[in-house]
Amino acid sequence: MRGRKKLISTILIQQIANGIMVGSIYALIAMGVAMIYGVMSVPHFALGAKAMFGGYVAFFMTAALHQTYWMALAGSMVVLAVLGLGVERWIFRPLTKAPPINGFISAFGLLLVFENFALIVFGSAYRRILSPYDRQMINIFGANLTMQRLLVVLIAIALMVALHVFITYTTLGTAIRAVAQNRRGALLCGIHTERIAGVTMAIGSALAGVAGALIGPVAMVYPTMGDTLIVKAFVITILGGMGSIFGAIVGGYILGLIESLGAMYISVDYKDAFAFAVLVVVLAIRPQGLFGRSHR
Amino acid sequence: MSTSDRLRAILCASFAVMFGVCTESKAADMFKFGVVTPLSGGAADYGIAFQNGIKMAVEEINKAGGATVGGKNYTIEPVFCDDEFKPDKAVNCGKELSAQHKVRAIMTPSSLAAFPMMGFNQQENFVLMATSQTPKFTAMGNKLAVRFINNTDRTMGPWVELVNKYFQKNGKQIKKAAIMEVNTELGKSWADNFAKAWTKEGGTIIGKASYDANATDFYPQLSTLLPNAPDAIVLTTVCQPSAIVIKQARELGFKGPFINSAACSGEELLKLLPTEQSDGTLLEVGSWAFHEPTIDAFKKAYEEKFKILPQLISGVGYEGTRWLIKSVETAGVVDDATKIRAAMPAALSGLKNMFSMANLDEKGDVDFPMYVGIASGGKMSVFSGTER
Repeated sequence: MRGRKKLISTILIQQIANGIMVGSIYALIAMGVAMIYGVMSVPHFALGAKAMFGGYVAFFMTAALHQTYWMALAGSMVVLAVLGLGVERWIFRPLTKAPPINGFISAFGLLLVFENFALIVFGSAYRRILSPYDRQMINIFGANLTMQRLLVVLIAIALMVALHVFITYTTLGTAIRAVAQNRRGALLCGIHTERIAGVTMAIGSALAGVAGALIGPVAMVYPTMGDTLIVKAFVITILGGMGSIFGAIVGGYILGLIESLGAMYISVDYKDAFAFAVLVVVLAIRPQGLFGRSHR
Repeated sequence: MSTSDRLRAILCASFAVMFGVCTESKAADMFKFGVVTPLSGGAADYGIAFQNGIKMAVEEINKAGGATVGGKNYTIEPVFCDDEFKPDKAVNCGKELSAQHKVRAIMTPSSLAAFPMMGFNQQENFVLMATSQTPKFTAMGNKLAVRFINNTDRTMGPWVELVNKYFQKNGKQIKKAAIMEVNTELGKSWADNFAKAWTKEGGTIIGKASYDANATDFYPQLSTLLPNAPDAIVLTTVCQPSAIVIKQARELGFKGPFINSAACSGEELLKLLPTEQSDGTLLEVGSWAFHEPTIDAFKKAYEEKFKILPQLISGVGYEGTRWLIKSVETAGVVDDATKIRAAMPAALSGLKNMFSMANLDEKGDVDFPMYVGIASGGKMSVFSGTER
């Protein structure tokens, strides 16, 4: 009887560890979605594909250029930040004055374009990112993890803290918040809103890119790897409140934990459905999301 | 360019955009057949491997002068249509190929495309050749449905027996199996069939967890299965997700063997995993895994041409094409699906192929023997009662 109890608590700890790892990845992408939505009012679906590009950048940097995994992480952030700037400048900026649906459609179109681009250029084969941390096993309170999984969580948390400091204490961060609160007001105060949009896109894309580079060694890298991630990131953004970065972080971990604990206590078969069940419940009770401002 | 030519080009281009298929109208004496396969999206890797096999066969036949049907020479032309691994797209492809291109035969590498097309292949009059392993494919009384792979109903019993024989021979006690079941038609039917055969052989199934093939983290499933201490983990799908499951199960401390279906070819799996993780994985393999001169030559030619490793489905696409063309020659007609279907058993009996495929029956099933492939030390070997 005692053995059985110990077994159950070990599974519980293992599932919590699983949930936190997945939640960290979700949160990274959801933060990007929330920031970009806050500043530009565009639901940026293509962030899923950008996570995929981040994975490929890390793959090529480690496999072809023989860089260390840390360099690959940094590389994926830089490359994706540049891509984010480009997308803002050449795709979203010309649409600023167009009806919101155009931004929505172009974001969705970008996802398809990026995925098929990856399919044509990188091929359909799955790639394995070699990370030195993927072979080291550690045991935390009875849960078995690879170092890589721990690294995912630690880097995600570090990035969240860094983003928080940036948004709260720097002039640029304050400007981003100002534009998110009131675009016209910010413009009247002399804030270059287009430049702010560019910076936001660069940061959001870099976060997605590093998420892809982090999950790469855990799973694998392939053209459609961003699909599930972006769907979950959107559920999280709605759950946390559209535009709320804090909501995205909390929502990410809530979703990760619900998925893995639901898998344990209810059924693994419905693991992916839990996200949507939670979404339905939250929308029914609190339509503005957990941390969203209500618009009345 | 005349006006009508230009008009045709524009029409052709717009159809290409709408349906993803387009070929120029050329002179007569061309035998066209359709191929509905994923060329983009998540299953593109698999679909392109199938397409490559077909291209190789067509090239070979055309180089040798094409097909001789009723005393006339025909150039062979496959018309490919991308179904993105979606049933609705497969229906569009099937309708388009039969209506516009008037094909009398369509090949597809999946149940997912085969089943919806069975809804109209008899009315539209085309032979539907599919590599569907699902028993239902030939159980629905479709007179123009032909399977060119194994029917799991027929092969699972002997195959599981062979798996057990292999374990016994190597002194391993493998009785408790846990199943990781992918949420597709084939995944479920394969897992059910396996469970039946496994328990009949004296084994037990101690747990089952289902998953989505597009998922990337399988820790939640594995964390519920592994505490029951299974001797083996059974997988039911293509290599890529299987490789991730294997990797993550090894991380969580699982040391036993994995047992997987033919959806994953050994060479592919070995490429995806380091040796210490892939070691001890058993796969369902066709006779194509044996090292015989013709088979090795095919694999080498494929690798040289496409710069990637051939998968089982590439070989199947290649042999399926040869079989179809031979059937058309035997039938002596190019535009009558019923006659082509009627000629298929005879055509197959004279066709030496890499899978020892033989004896097409009334229902549309063929003999397609399956053996046990074993990954060990970064190489695949085959167990067929005696190790080869």
